[in-house]
Amino acid sequence: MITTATLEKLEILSDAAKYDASCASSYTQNSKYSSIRPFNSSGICHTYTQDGRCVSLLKVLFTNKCTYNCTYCVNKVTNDVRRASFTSEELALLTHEFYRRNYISGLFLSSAVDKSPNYTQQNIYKTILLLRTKYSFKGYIHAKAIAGADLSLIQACGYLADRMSINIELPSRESLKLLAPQKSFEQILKPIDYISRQSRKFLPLHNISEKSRFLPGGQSTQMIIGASDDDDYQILRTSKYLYNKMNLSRVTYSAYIPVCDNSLLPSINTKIPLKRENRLYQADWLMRYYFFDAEELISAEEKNLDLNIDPKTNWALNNFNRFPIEINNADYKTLLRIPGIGRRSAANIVNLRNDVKIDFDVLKQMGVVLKRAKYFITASGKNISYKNCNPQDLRELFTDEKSFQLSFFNKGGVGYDNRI
Amino acid sequence: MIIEYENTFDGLLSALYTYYTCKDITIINSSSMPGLLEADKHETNFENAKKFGNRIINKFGIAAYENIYFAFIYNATDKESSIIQYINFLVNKNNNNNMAYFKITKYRKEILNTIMRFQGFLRFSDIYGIMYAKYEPEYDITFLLSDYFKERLLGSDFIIHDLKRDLLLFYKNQEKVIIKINKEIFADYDDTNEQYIQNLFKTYFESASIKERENYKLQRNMFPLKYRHHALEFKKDNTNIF
Repeated sequence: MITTATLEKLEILSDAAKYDASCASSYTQNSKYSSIRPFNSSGICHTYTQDGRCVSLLKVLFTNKCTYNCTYCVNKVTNDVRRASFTSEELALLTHEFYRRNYISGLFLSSAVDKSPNYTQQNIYKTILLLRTKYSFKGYIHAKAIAGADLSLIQACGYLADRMSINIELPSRESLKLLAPQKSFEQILKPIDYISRQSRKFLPLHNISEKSRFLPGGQSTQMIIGASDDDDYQILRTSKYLYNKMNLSRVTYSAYIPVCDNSLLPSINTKIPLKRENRLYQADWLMRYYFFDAEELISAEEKNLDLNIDPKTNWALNNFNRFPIEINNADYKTLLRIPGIGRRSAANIVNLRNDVKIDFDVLKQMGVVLKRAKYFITASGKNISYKNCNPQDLRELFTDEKSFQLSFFNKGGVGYDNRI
Repeated sequence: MIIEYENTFDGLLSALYTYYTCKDITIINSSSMPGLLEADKHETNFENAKKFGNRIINKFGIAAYENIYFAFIYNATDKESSIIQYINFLVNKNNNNNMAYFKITKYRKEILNTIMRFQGFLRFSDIYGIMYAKYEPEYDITFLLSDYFKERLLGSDFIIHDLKRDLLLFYKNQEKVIIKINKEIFADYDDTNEQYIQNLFKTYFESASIKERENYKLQRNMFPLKYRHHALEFKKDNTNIF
């Protein structure tokens, strides 16, 4: 039942869940219960909050009563905050009511670890079971797997949800030990590994109906940026491992917002590393959609990504001898490596060049960022700007382009671009 | 010769049919420049319209047909000539007139973006068991949207009200009806339960934002002010949105 107390609970528990970015997308290729497809292939944004982030799911914690004491977390047991818990019935009904009014596309359900991991996981399971059965909920469900819960419970949730996630939070064993002593890397990796093995069982060979599929949206995770000393090289290496070995659908990066004062953490006045988060998302995108390898983008000596220049342009300038690239005959993967050409432009070029000879006018029409791309391409052997430029000058040019970076920054939504 | 067709999609297809069977014709629609040009009225011939539509689909695929429809509802002043140029481009791709192609692609993108936005931004309220939403879109996309909401609202009856064009789409028992209506309906509907759920959502909207990352510019880019009029979370007072 929705009561007058629900309002306060919702306020507390959505406030507590908002730092979790691992739910960024609400769209799966094979959504379980629903045949509806949005017109584009990404999730639907129902509204945008004051920080410009997309709201597509009802993102709440089941409870914020926590037994853990992770240094970086607002909900840690020693923190003095208002505490509340939903009941399964209440939360299921609330989600249903929001969903049918088109406020949200689904539910993102996380939880603090109340009593024990198993107890917490059971509450999550009860809620999504109610939703799927009693309310025949056809929306998207993203549920948290709680590290340390029984694998059978996690499996049961997996048959109801579209995606699950366990947050790694810290990319290395050492920093986890330091900041979250009650958790261990093994404890977190165990369910991730289990889910990835379960999902693999149901890959294409098996002729299983959509409904009974295990987690059609796969699993995701989140890492906090800037709470520990870990550098970008380590973070991207961890991501690469997760994508390649654990088959993750998505790794999200969340710039650390100082919420607690602690000697182990950056001081409470530290600036939020938004730019760094943005660069990591760019690098992540390059790894997933542009066929870049983590080591190409960053080397162990460099440690961190260059904040002044985006990783793709940086790579192009470091490998300037590979350019210029001839637009009319380069293959798709090569086109993708040109700064200023994205996935859509690259696909357009490949599709159109059989019929139409591509020149700079056509590229402009397509929406290629010529301002940037013109230094790296030729069209039918011709080029306006490539001659007489060298990587050093270009680097300076792109670094000085403040306005360009700003617009890029805004467009990417500080990494919360939901259009995957 | 100039012919003036009734400003509907069937009217356009039927006029295009005539255009491609007779020579030396200019097509204009009934809402453009009334009375300025001396034009013959073109009676919509549904059979010809269907024939022409099918020919486009068979020859160039469903996407081309969609593109023509999108260009039609985009409602640019020169839509007839761009559509004709586009069809000519499809017939002969080497005629170097790819500008029409890009123009149509732009229209398509624009329309799809608008639809995509309203898939999220439309807010329904439960009124006497019927889901009711009103909005003011730039383009006439109510019909296209209704296909989506038919599935989304799990078969319940719904109304989508386009206040800009005074069109009201009513979906009941698997059937869609579009009527013209020039006043707001349910203006004085009041229900405490509905009100409470709207308040819950407002609360959620407020508390889901991270204060430290505030970025109103980004919010405005993603959710332009022109769409906010009917989005309940941007209403400052507690008045309901029916």
